[in-house]
Amino acid sequence: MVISGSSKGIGNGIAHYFLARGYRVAGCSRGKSTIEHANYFHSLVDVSNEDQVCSWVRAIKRRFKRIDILVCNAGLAPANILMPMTPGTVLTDLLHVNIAGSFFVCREVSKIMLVQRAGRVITISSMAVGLHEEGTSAYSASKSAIVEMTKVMAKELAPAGITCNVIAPSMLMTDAVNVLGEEVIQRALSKLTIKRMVTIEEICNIVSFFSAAESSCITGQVIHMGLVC
Amino acid sequence: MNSTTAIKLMQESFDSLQRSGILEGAILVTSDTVILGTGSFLNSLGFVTFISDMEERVSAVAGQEHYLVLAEIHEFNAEQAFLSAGTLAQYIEKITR
Repeated sequence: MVISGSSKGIGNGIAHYFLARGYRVAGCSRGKSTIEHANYFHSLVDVSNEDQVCSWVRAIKRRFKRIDILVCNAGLAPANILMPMTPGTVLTDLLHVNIAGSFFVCREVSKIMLVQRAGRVITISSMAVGLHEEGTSAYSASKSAIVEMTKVMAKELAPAGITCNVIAPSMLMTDAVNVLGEEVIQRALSKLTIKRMVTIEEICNIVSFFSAAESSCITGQVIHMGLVC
Repeated sequence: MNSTTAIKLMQESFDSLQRSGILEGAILVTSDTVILGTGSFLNSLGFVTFISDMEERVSAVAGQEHYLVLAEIHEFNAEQAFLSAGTLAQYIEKITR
């Protein structure tokens, strides 16, 4: 299993969950590894850097010979700010990391999956898309792009036995969420249909579902957690 | 890597594609074999798979990472997409020199 953005947050939780279940996991982040496990292989990668992504995926192929599952998770989640006040740099950072970064990772891994004629690609969107949440214009746009990219990719790669699906988690208590403060968190939770945080186990349950052999005819789908879309 | 070796790698790749069902029949690769465009045995997904497979094979033989970037092939015209095995072999020879 390959996970981009595995040093913290959702990616870190997914890595721990599947390592505990005997998976070999290759992860990456811009910083050093926060996971110590015999079956974990970490690389320093900025996913917005095309060359770094290409080299990283090749290194994984050399080491593990194949890639069965990709969880394309790395991304930025800036603080909410209304569109008229959003600096251009916030938008360009999101375009580079969330869209271009996801594109590069999916593109390089899909090449390997194409040759092996099998694979599961799982991308991570956000509840912000389904809620059309105020203050997330740039972020939601980037996460909507990931959904569209995944659906197109699903159609392109289906003949090769590769499925591509999206998880749109609601709130998981991560460092990035924690800094938002209690008031912001409660306001966000109040907009959900199921008004509580999700757990990493619930997210991993969906990863397991999409990855299962029995899910080979499920592609181009988005699972929204905690809200009706 | 010279063009002859590149053609040999293409033959191995085509054989592999045939074994995996992407190509229906065996194909003898020569310089004139059409990889992309009218007369090609590969559909669009097959072409991408072939290029990805070739990147791995070229990198393995050359002992370092190589990427096959169509836009870098001088003779390749994206407006009238056409690529022969001979043209690709020359490109591979150039990037591995």
